[in-house]
Amino acid sequence: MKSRIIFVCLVLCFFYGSFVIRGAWLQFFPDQRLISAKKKNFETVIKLKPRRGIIYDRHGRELAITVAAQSLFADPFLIKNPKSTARKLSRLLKVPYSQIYKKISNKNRRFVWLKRHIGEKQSKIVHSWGIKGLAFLEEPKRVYPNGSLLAQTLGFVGHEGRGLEGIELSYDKILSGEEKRVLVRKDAMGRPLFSDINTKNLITLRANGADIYLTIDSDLQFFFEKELKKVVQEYSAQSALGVIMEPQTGKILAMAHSPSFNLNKPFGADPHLRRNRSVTDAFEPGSTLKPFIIATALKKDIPPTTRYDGMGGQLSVEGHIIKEAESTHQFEEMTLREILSYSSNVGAAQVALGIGDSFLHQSLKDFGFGSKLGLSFPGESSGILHKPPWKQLQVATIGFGHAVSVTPLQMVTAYAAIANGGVLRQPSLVEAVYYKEQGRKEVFDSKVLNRVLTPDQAKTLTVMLISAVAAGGTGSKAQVKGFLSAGKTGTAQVVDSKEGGYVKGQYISSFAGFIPAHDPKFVIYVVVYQPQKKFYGSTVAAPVFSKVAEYAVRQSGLSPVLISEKNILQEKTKQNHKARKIQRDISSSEEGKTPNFIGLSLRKAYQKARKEKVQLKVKGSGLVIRTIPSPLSPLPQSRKIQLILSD
Amino acid sequence: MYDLSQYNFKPFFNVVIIICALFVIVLFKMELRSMNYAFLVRSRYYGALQDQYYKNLMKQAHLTRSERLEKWAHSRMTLNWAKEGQVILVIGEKAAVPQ
Repeated sequence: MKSRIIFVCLVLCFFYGSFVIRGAWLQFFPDQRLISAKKKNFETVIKLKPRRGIIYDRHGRELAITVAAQSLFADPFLIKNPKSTARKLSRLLKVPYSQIYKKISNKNRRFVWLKRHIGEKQSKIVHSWGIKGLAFLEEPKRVYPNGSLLAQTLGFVGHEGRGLEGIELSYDKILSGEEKRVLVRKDAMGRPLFSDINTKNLITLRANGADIYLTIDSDLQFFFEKELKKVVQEYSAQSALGVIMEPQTGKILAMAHSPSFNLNKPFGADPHLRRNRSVTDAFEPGSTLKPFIIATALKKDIPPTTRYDGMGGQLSVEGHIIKEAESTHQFEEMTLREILSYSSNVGAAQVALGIGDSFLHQSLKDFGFGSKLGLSFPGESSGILHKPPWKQLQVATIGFGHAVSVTPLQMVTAYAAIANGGVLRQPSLVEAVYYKEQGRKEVFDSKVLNRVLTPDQAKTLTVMLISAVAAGGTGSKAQVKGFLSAGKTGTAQVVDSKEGGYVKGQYISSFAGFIPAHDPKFVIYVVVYQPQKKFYGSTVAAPVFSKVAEYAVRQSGLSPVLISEKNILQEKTKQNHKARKIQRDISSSEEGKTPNFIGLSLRKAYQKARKEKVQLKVKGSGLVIRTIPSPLSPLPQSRKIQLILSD
Repeated sequence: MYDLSQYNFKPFFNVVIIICALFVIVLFKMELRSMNYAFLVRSRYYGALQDQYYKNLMKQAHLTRSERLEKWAHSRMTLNWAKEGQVILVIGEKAAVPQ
């Protein structure tokens, strides 16, 4: 009996012992096959899909948000009555019956999308039907609460949540964040067990993309877009665009286009409308380029008082005739200021010819033309600025903004360089990126590209640009009451891309300027493509500048200063010898030279004429805007001067 | 009558203690598992709340967009853009600021 008990005990010990030994063996010498089987049964990978970051404007207003939306799909195999289901869905989703029926009647397929990103109410109704074979998947949906506002700049995302255009594309990686995969244990029902994980993301079950703060002011953007829409309607123009920049920082405050498109339904829009033409399209700027020719002349130490012959309104270069914009524009002699003020093509061409091709090319290059400015925006164009040597005709035409192509972004950046005292800054659209995961905010500082003008040269040029906006200048419609503005009009012909040359009767009207001129806060560039009723930049684009500039200064809380060019000049006389020369040029008269009557009323003009012993011939009424011969040009022997008045 | 003192209970107590300890471990494990499920439920609830927060944010942005505010100001409050030469009549005793 005893031996039997011992035998049974030994057998049991052997069995239990072998289990223990096998267990220990597996513990200390693991089997790869068993490990993978264990993983398969007890572990799962959780994909933490990131929520795309929010895009804000400079005041923290949301421009693009991602929300969770329901997408409806069907398993046709499980749908018992496809006809009635299709009828119901068609009515609810407003999708043609035939389209839905075709999808759900194909029993061979087990998954078909019926409609993605449907509304909350619609999803509740579908739930309430309880039809077997219809189900929802939660998907992220990008929403643009402002509809078409800033459409071309913001861009949009595709159905898969990837950026396809604009900021959404260029900052796609930052906005979308990274999908994270976390290995966790799971229970018998497949539910994740978090006990051994200490990951912050698991609490929210989301890995968020970074938020982006733009430099854009959405109020200013809205007003600008509204004004552009008006001008397009008023002049039956093909399109219009504009950019506003802060000159001290290079930050872009608005980038408006008209016509625009609804960002919430981008795929139905014309691809041409979806492009940010302020950055991607280059065109011949026309006279808005003249300030940079004059700036180059100042850089080459050509005195501002240098006189250029008006050539009777016609200049012959290499057998080609360069004319003024209007045949009635026949200037006798012009200073650099008057060339800008009257927007003389003949004068600007002579200045350009006097500078020479290589110096002019380098100067324009310094202002940022002909190269990308590094906005980090998809499709940024560098414009066209050919390398020298240039033919004489090319030099002359570049003088008044032809034979060269620039983007609106380049133009506004170059004007900002004049406005901020001669420093070219890199334009920027993104102010900061906020990485929520790390709680870190990366703020982007403005980047200086190079100094293009001395402060004195910039001031002198500013005074000239003020006179171009003053009464008698081409840009007088760009004036803003109570504020001193400076700028230049431009009217360029449209290049015929198919047959070469220019399209007859089609123009690009533009105006570039800044406000307040004595301490610029806003640089504004307005371009109107192919206006039909009128086409001069002074008539079409300058009033838009005036309205937008007025809104901008008032919105920013600047008080009207009610100063004039005279105040600027008086202030400058204390600081700057060059400005004193200009002031003399404007306000004083010398023996044997034509006195300056510009800006005087008729009564005062006659008083001055009596003093100067000259005879006057008057045309019109109001204030004197022009004299023939022009001020300070040699006085004719007959001592007769023709005055042209404003009205 | 049994005389209990003649039996040695020490091994029995040892076994009971071991079994109790094992039960406590199992209970702790069960509690941990139940906390896991509670955590999972709350995480999902938090996720839903976050979704709702973003939806509300979107609605707020939609309601306060510049275009809507301007329309609202025009239609509900009869506020319009100032026009050139517009006379603004300010009435009331405190309207005039002492010079």
